[in-house]
Amino acid sequence: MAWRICLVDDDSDILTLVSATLAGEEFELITLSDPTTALEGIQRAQPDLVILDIEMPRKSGLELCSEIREKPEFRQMPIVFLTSRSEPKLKVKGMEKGAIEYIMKPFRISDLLLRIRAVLAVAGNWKGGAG
Amino acid sequence: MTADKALEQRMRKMYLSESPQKVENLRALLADWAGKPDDVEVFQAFERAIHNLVGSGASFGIPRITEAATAFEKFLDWFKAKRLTLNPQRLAVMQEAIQEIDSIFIGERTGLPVELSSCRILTLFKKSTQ
Repeated sequence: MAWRICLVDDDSDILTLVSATLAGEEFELITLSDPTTALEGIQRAQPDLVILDIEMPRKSGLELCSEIREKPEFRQMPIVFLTSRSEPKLKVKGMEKGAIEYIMKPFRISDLLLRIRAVLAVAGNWKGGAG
Repeated sequence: MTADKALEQRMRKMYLSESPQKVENLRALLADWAGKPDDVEVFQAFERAIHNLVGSGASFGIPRITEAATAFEKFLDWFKAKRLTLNPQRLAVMQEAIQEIDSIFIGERTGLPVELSSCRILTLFKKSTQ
């Protein structure tokens, strides 16, 4: 059974790149480009992992992260930030909001894959049997 | 060639094939901002387009785009902080910077050496803030 991952990013290039990176039987990627409607998409998808950009129009990834964490069914779900914002304060804020990993853009395809696998290996079974 | 390497090359080629549209989009967004210099949403749309290049450039194998866009983004921070306002000179600097980004893309697409580098963009922006 494939890991189901939701990626929220307004940059269509990044959505394309991550989709290509995660293509195959190991992952099922659901891309969401509008952060204002992403929570509904995540609730529909019930993913094993959510990846969020931070700087997005109308709603930041940090706000979205808080909204996800407010939902009881997603308290344990791993959330990862994928962002080009490198300020240490922002990284701390992201972790305080409930993310467990902070991946910097630009990234190498092989590194992204490794980091995602590592997160899923540690926290992917939060639903009790996915993967 | 490893699967990752092949994927990187395929993605790079695709990104470069779309680069003329990216540059045209930057020009259009800058023109929008020039037409509405006090409109925050118009500014944010331009800023976001530059910001996206910061993240995507090197991810698609073109680090010079990330370097140039990073310098551009830092320059835009001055406007965001309201320490600079848009004037004809600064507009011209940004138009030239977009031209340089285009030159980087063209150089990467054609494989021909491009004389310009992101360092020049940085110099331009520094001069424009003095």
